[in-house]
Amino acid sequence: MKPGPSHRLRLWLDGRRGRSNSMLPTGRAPGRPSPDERRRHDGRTGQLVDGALLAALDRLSLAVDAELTGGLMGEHAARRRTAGIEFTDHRPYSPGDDVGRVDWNAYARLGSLHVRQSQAEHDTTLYILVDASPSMQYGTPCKFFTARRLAAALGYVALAHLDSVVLAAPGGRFAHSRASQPFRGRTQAAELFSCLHELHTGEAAPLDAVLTGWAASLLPGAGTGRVAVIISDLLLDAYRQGVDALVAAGVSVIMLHVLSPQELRPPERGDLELVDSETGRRLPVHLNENLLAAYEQRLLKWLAGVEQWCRDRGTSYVLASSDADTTRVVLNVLRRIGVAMR
Amino acid sequence: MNLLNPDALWWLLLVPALVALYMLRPQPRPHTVSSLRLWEGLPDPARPQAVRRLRLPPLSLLLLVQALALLLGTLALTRPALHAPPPRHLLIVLDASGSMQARSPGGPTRFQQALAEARRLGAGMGDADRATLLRAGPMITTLCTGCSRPELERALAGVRVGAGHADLRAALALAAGLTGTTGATGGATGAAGMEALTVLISDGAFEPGAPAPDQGPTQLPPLPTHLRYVQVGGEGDAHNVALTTLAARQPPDGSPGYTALARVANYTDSALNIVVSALADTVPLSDRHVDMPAGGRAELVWTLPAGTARFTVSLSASDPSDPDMPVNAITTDDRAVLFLPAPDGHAVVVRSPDPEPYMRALEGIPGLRPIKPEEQGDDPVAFTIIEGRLPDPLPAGGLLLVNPEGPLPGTTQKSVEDAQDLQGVPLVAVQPTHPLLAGLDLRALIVRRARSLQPLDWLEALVVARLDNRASTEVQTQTETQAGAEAFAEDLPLLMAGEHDERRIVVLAFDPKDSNLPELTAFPLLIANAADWLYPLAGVQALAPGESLRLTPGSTVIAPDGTQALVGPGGLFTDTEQAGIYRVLEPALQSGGGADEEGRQADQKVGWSFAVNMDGAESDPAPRPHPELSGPGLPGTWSGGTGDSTHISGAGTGPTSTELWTPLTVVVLVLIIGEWLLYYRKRGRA
Repeated sequence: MKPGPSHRLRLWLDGRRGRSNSMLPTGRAPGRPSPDERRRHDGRTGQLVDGALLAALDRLSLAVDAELTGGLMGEHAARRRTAGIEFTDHRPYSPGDDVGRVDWNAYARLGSLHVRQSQAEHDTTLYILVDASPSMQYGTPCKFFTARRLAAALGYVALAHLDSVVLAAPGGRFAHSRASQPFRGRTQAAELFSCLHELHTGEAAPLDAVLTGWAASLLPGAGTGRVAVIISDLLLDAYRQGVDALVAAGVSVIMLHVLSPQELRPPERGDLELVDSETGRRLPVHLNENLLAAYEQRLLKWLAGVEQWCRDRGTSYVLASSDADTTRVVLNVLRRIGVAMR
Repeated sequence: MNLLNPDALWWLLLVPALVALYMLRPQPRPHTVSSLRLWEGLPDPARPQAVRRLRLPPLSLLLLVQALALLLGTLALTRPALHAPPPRHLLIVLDASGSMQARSPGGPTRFQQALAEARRLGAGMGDADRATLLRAGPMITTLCTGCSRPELERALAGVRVGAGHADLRAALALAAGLTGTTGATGGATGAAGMEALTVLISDGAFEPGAPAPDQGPTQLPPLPTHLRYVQVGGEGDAHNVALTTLAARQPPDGSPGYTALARVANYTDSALNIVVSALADTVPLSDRHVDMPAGGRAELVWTLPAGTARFTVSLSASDPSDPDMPVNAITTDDRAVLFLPAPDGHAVVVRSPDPEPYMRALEGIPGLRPIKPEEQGDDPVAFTIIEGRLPDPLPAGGLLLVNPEGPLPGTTQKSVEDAQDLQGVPLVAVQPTHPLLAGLDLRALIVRRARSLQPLDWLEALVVARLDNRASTEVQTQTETQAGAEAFAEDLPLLMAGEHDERRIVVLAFDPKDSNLPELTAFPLLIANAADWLYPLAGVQALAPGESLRLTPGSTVIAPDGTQALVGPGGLFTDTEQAGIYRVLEPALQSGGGADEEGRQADQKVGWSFAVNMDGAESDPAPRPHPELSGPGLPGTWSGGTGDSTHISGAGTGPTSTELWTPLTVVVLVLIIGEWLLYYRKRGRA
C-alpha cells in the first residue's frame, strides 16, 4: 500500500491551505510566480510542508526503507538482523501503526488495541537540532526556513518508521507547547510540523548545551541506534563540545550545514557597510571582485575545516544551500543515517 | 535668436553643482550579513579609496540626463526667442455695391472675385496678425474686428452683396479711424500698436473722387496711410443693360390710375435691341421694343389701368450684330417693381391753424391722405404735421414741426426761444445733399422772422440764416462738411432734421406766413421731400437699397432671398439692401395702403409687400480710374504680392519674437520623467 499523509496530517494541511500564505500549488501558469511562491522563495514566511513535499517524502521513504530500517531496526524486513528484538512493552495503537504488530491477546483482555514494542524499537530516536540564532534568518530563501523545512522532512520520514523524534532549537522561541516532548509515530507528524512552523529565531545561543544535555540523558552505550541531525550554519563554534559528547555517547551525528546562496556568492558590489546580524557590528568594505575572491577563498577554507573536523570525529557532514531541493537533501541525509547505523 | 531674460543664465551654476554632488562619494549602503566572521581581516585595498570623500564624476546616464535637464531648463528660463514679423492689422474694405453683382458669362461675379481676393489676403496672415472686415454698402457694416484668420474666413463666408451704392467715403474714413492712421499724420500703427494695412477691394464702378455717389463731388476723407486698392472685374463684365428708374404718379388731370415711367440705359458699346415687358398686377401689357444706341437711354411711359396695385417691368436685350455677345452683366437691374398705393392710402394728420397749404401739397402725393385731427380714427398715421404749440405728449410716428412752440423731443427744457428778425439775413443750405433739400431752389426764399432754437445733438441744421453776414441776401450753398456742425454755434437754423427715439423729425423754425415759402414752388416739393423722408413708403411702395423704413414692431419681414427678420420694438427696419420684393407680416390688421388682405396668416398676421429696386447708379459697371486711391507713399512699408493680390509681408515697426520657452519646458518635463524612470529602474535592479 502506498503510504500517504495521514488523516490528521491532511486536516493540518487543509487548515494551512485556508491561509493566505499557503504554499500549496494554485494552478497558476508556469513562469509567473504567484505571491505565495514569491514568499516561499523569500523563505521568511510561508508553509514549511506542502502536499508535494509530503508525497515526495512518501516516495522517498519507500525507496530508503530497506537501508534505513536495516540499520535502525524498523518495521520492515532488514538485510541485517540486530539483537534487540525481544518484547519489552506495549503501547496504545495509533493509526498508521502496522496492524500485524497489534497484540490481539491484549485486545481480548483489555478491549483496546495495543502494539508490541521490542527493545530495539524502543530505543530508536532521531534528535533534530535546528539552529535558531539570528544569523539563520539571512539569505533568500532564508536559512532558517530551509532548516525548519529539512527538519520537518526528516522528522516526517523518521516518524513514519521509527519511534520518536526529539526536537530542539537553541536560541529559538517555540510557540507550540508540544515542542519539548518527543514525537512518536506518524500520527504526530502534524504536531511536529506545527512546532516547526511556529518556531522563531531568537538570540544567538551555543549549541553545546543542548547537545551535551542529550548526551547526558543517555545511559552509557545507550546512544547506539540513535541519530542526531544538527541543522545549522555553524557560524559559531559552540557546537563542538556537544558533538563530541554525543559521539562519545554512541549517537550517530550528522552535521547538516546550511548556507544561503548570498553567503556562498555575495551579489552586492560597491561601498557597503556590512552589519553582523547577530552582534550588530559594522564593517565598511568596498566590495569588488578582488575582495570577493578573497572572501570565497576564506569561505572554502572554512568549509573544508568544518568538514575535516567532522570527518575526524566520524560524523557525517552535508553542506546544503538554502535554495537546494529539500527532497534531495533529505535523501542524502537519510542515506548517511542508514550508513551510520550499519 | 535672442535671450529675453539673460539673467537666468546664472542658473547654469547648478550644472557644476550637480557634478560636484556626483563627485561626492555616497555613504556606504548598510548591508546585513549573517556574520562578519568570514569578512573580518580580508585584504581590502580599495577601502581607503572608498573612505575618501571625493571621487571622479562617474559617467552615468542619470548624470547626463540631469545635466541636460538643467541646461534646457536654464535655457527655458532665459526665454529664448526667434525673430518673427510683427503682428499686423489687415483691414479689408469690401465693396458690396450693386455693380459688384456684375459677372462675365460663366464666370464669378465681381463680389465673388472680391471675396476670393479677401480670402487670399487672409491666407497671408500670420498667427499674430489680426484683421477687420468692413462691408461697404449704403451703410458700413463691421463684420469682424481684430479677428484671426479663421474668424475672417467665417466672416467672409457670411457676407453678401447688395443692390445699392457703397458709401466708400465713409468706409475709408472708418478704416482710417480704426487703424488710427491717416496720410496726414503719417502714423503707421493701428490698434495695439500693430502696423495696419487697409485694402479696398472694389470694382471701381464709382466716380473718381466721389466714393459716395449720393453725396456729389465731395472731397475724399483722410485716407489710411497704408491703403491698397485692389480692383476686381474687367472688360468681360463691363457691359450692361438696365432699368435705371421706375416711377409712377397720378395723372395731373385727376383721372384714376397711375402713369408709370421707366428709364432704360444701355451701358454697352453696341447698339442693342431691347424688349421691355410690363405687368399690371398679373395682366401683361404690350411689350415695347427699343433700339438703343451704344450708351443710349430711353424713357418708356405706361398708363396703368385703374386699380393696379403692382406694376412690374422687365427687359431683355440682344446685340443684333452678334446675338452671342454678352450684353447684360447684371441681371438684378433687369426687373423693377412698384407697389401702387390705393388713393386713400397713408393718412397724414395736419394740426395747424391754417391747414390748407399743407393739405394741398399732400394731396398731390400718391398714396397720402391728409386728414385733420378730428378725422383721425384707428388707422395708422404715416406722419403728423404740427404747426405752433406742441401737444404733450407728441403723437407717435414721424413729425414735421412748423414754428414749434414748446420743448422739442429729447429735452424738458424750453428749447424754443423768441423769434428773431431776419430781414436781410442770408440763408445758407449747409447740407445741400440731404434728401429734404433734393431739387429745392431756395434762392427766392425770404424769411422775415424765425424762432431761435437751442442746439440739440440729434437735430441737424440743413438751412441756416447766417447772422454774421447780413450784407448778402442770396441763399448760398456750403459744401464744407463741417459747416453743418458749426451752424448752431454761429447761425440761426431754419430747417432741421434728425432722428430721435427711433423716429424722424423735421423742424421748420419759422411760420410760413412770416415768409414767402407758401408762395414758392419749393413749398410742395419740400412737403413731398419731407413726406418721403418721414415715411419712405409714401407714394409708390418702392425703396432704394439700404433705405430704412418704419414698420409695426413685432412684424416679420421676409426678404427676397427668403430670410426672415423680426422688427424690433422701435419699428425701424434697415436691412433692405437686396433688390426684390419684401413681404411684411404685421401682427394685426394695421397695414397701410399696400396691405394684402389675402396674406392673412394662421397666426393672425396680415401681409403686405414693398419693393426694393436696384440703385440705377450701380447699373453702369464700367470701372473708372481712381488715381486718388493710390499715390506716392502708398502702400508704404508694405510690400505687395503678385498680380492684384496683396500679401502681408515685409518689415514694419520692428521684429517681434516667438518665444521658445514652452517647447523647452516640455522637453525638460520629458527629461525629468525619463530621469525618474531611469532612477527607479536602477534602484529596482539594485
